[in-house]
Amino acid sequence: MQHGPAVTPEPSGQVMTQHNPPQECMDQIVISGMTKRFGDTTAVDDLNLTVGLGEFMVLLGPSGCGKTTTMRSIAGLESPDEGSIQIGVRTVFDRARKVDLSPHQRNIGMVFQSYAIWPHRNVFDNVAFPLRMQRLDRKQVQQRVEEILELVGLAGLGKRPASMLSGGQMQRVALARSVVMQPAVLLLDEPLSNLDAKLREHLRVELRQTQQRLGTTAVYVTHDQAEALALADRIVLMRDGRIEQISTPLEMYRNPQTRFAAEFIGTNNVVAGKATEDTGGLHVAVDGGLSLVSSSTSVPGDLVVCLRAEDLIIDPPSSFDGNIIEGTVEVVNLLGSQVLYAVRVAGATLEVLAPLGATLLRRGDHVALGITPDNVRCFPED
Amino acid sequence: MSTGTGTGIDRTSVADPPLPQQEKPPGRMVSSLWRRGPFWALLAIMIVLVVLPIGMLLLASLTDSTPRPGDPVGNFTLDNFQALFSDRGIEAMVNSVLMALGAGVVAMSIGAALAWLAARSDVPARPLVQLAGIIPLFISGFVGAMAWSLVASPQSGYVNMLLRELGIDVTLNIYSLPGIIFVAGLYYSPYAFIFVYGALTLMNPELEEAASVHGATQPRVAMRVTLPMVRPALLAAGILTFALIIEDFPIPVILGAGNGIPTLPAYVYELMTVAPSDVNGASAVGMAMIVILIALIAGQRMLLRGRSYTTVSGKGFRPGQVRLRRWRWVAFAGVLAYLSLAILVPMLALLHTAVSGAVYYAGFGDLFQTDRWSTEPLVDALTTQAFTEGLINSLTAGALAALFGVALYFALAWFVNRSNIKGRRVLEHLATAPVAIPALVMGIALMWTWIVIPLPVYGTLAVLVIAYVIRFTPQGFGGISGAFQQIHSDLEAAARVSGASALRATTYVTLPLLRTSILSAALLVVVLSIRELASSIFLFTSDTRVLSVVVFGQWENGNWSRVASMSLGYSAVLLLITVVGRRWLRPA
Repeated sequence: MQHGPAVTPEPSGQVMTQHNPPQECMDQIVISGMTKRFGDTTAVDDLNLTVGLGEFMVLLGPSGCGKTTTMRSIAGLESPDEGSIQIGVRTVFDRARKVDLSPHQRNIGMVFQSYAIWPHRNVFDNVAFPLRMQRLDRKQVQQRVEEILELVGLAGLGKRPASMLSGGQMQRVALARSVVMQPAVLLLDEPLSNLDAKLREHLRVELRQTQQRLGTTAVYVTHDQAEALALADRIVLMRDGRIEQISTPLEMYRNPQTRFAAEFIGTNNVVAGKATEDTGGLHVAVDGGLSLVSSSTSVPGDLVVCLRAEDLIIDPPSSFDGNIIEGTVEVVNLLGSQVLYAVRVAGATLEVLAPLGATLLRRGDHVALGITPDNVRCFPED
Repeated sequence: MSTGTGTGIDRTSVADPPLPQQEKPPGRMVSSLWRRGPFWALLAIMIVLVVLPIGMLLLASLTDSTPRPGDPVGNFTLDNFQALFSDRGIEAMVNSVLMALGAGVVAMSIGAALAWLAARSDVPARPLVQLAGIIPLFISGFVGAMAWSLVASPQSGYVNMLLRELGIDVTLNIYSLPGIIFVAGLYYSPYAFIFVYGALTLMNPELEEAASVHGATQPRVAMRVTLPMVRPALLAAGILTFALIIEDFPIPVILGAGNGIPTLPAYVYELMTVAPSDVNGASAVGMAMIVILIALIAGQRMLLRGRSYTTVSGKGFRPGQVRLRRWRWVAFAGVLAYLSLAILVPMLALLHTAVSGAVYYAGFGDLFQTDRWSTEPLVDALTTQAFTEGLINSLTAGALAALFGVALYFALAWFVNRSNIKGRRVLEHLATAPVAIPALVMGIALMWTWIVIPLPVYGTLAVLVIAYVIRFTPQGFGGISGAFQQIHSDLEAAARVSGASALRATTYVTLPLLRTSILSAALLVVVLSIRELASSIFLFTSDTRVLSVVVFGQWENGNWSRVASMSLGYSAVLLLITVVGRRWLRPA
């Protein structure tokens, strides 16, 4: 799995960053009991969330899970129906106490999915706007904007009309504009989703670097699990307006707590089965004929089994201690450094992600797939 | 500080929460009152402008006296509706429906054909075809009707003189139901053009290509794919055209009222102006017209619900073109014929009458006695005090209507598109409501409203300005609101989170981006205001005659030389504004 370059997993599961966030310090954002309804649908349902100072928090989930509504509520672009939001020591929203600060009173920066670069102004004016709103004098504005443009790699482009920028440049202008007034919180709403794959990976690294240099608390919304794993100090996985799981990226990847979390992160094969308790763990009889041993603590009975594509080992060594599944290769997809195989096994077709070895399997080849009991994750049926 | 990254950005202030300014009062929900304040003010304005007049009309239709200052309410009665079910009322209703059906079909055929030619064919001079599609919007149907009186009146019409000269025993009579249908059809074609043209150009050509690739012939593609795709647009345009024609005032009055062909608007006008007048009866007939229009619009909305297949995707489609081959020039001749009938022939007839100073001739040959031609009557007519004052009044009222109107439409569009106040849908309904109010009826309703309201409005240009602002709210609001929807709300939100108040965000971001649309709406209001006759006719006083009223007055007096000269001057003013502003004039 790939982490962001500056993130190194520690044995404790804690995530260290280049700029170690002051762990003992106070929380920068505290959301309590927040609910937001749109007509009959509840977009966010009694949400409680705390973001630490300098932390990079990613809200992850499928569309409609409430992640964007949560972010827009922090920004003041939506007014929740219940609950309170605190930024720093200030209460910016509290339904019970009738506090609802306008967006411009909240000291936040925000990068929009559409970038929201004003097309009728040049780069300098776009970036300078928050400073002018704070009535900084001309010299200070000039200096700060030049510094920040240099930081995001746009030095010398101040005079360029915003309508003549490429997608990557617009993204950088949006980032510069959102951090130039040194906001208490930086909000990012799927800022990379409109870029092509290569640029996206490149800017992902840059974005993290900038946030770490400035030490800004960041909340980042995305539906892309790879982005979340790469960027986050902690990931908040959301579903139907509720938090499904909060944990570090590594923990989220290794120990998904629910079926939804397991399916959302990584490439998964999901099969239904029936479990019986036995010595040495849970025995799962998968519909169609397979029989697997799992170290999951799930209760016996009907359940679903998630097998990660990358956890299935092709032709494991004879010393391998785990489940062995026999099958036939049906489809071969070369992805580059990895190969995705579709392997037909008893009662199912499994996707298998393997490193590209010396040889490529071919359609019709017989293979044995190995998977350890640890990686056979069982969850109760919904 | 431990950055050591050399960025020079001081991050200490980031780490420290902004202590000194915590819990500042200005952000409290108390401010929601002043956030809502402008909304309530706007709602109040719309209620006074739109709801109150309709209330007055309803009152007048259900009581036995007209609303007067100090005594707005009379005794309740339903007798007024007898006017509607009298012989003449029923005749007027039948004629109106026949006229709207007939002219609707003519207008739809012309408009849809021009739209298809301009959007999808290789017809020569496509810009000219596009122009032909919308030009009648800017030439008043009122002028067209008077000009066609000159061209095809049974006795002295130019065409009939020509037919007699050629010994053909046929007399075309423009003063007939077919005549009215013909003229109304000519001048109501732009709505069909705009709707169908839009649908055809916004449609993804891949849908048609997919049909051809899978084996459909050209005509089959047209029948199975293109036609069903534009059917919602056709339906929408058809109902709108029908509604606009049924409430049209000048065409059926000029061509039909004096010749035993009453229509509903002409009947209302007659009840109001011909002694002994029956203003309560007129109100009752007016209410009936509103009910008809509401039913039509409600029907249109119901039929169209979820049936718009063409969406603006922002992708630049290149619509597929059909090669007309030998029909190319036939089609082009058709376009020229339409332009001749709608513009060229009427204008030449007006010009001829203006410079020759006479209407009655012994024979067709006498028409070309150039020695009798003189620009003197034309210059005389255009320099009369009546004309110059009318021009100044029209321009002033048009400019003021544009100014106040656009401010109102912008505010409405902002609340509808950018606020999350629950009552914003009410504003939207109020903004589109004037579509259902016939112009003539609106004039009557406004007259009573502003006579009763003790403000010095009635009898001044202000009441005309108010009428124009209301009448063109659907168009002006629609145009600006549509432009709002094209501007991503994130652009404004970005300014808000960057520290700008809602007002500042609007003026910094939205207003500049909407400049073109605002200008376009303003110009449209100017042009439509100057064209306006049916509401003005009940709201002018001797000091506040606008151009359309001046020309109409000359027609009522039967002074055809003056009618022709002033119509030309009137059309020239409209044409000038249209040409100068054509860059911004996009009918909404």
